[in-house]
Amino acid sequence: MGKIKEIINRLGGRSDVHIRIYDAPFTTNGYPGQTSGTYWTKDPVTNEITSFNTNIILSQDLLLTSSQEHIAAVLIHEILHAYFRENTGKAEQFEGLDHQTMVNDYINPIAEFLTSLYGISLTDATAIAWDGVSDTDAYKNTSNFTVGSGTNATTISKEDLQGINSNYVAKSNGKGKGLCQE
Amino acid sequence: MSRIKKQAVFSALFLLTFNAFGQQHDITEIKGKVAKVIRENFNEKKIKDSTAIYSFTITIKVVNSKGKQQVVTAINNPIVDSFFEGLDKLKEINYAILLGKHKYKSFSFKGYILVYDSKYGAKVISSPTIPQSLSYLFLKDETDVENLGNIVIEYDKKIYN
Repeated sequence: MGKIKEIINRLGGRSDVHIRIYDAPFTTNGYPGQTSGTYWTKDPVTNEITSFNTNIILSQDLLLTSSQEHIAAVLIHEILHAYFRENTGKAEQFEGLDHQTMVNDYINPIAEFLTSLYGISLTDATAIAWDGVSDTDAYKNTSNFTVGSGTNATTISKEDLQGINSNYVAKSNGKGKGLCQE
Repeated sequence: MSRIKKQAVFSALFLLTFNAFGQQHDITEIKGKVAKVIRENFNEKKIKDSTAIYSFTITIKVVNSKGKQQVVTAINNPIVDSFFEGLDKLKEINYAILLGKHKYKSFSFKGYILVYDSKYGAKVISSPTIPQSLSYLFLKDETDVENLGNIVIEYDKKIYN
């Protein structure tokens, strides 16, 4: 089972984890998705966490005209924020580290998940997986990105990666499935 | 002691133990239901973005009036009162086991809420304000008030994009 599917199953299968997913005209900071309103309830005597709660909001303004693949990537990105909060139980420890962790450990799992879900190429899926972490040093300081892993790994230039991702974001140049069945 | 008497004593002890376990289970279940209502009716959107600490005590007064249960609930901290919605569900819980043979009983559920500002470390809680913030953990008179549980809510105001 892939890493992303494991995380979705883990979060979805627990009665003490409540992740509410909404759509709204806009998100607070103008991004396609946001994770906010996170709180934990605990037993003050044992310090045991009794519930984890958070909200994921998706922007109608930015996503209604986008491709299913891009929307899925945005949702996975937000689910990872929720997972990091649930997994650590402490918000402040991961301040600023979420995107770095996604770059280090989750680009390939996201790409593999998108490939299995939509049947797109691993190169396309990798380009989409990088969306949302362009603020990291790893993205800023790299001109070529690795696609896949091991002996089958290939590389793609930043320009090509951005181009592919833009096509899925805008659902243009024949890339991506629309929200309605075509 | 005859064999029949021994059997009778054993049966009585077994029934007493079984009943005690059963009752304990019921009490734990009621406490769990109360905690669940409180957990699930916290509305985080009502809290402003600022590093803060709030405390509260919810009191649940139960009266057995001609076999019918009447419940009155209250929160002693008016600010925290606005953070919870739907606490009326506490009135739907059957407290009969906890009430026992009493006609009237008071229960409490205590907690505190820690709010982390959206910018970590941007603000700190002023120490002179802490006694006031924590004062709501106590009631003026706790005589005959049975505690049903405690809760900590840690709320992160940061928006992750």
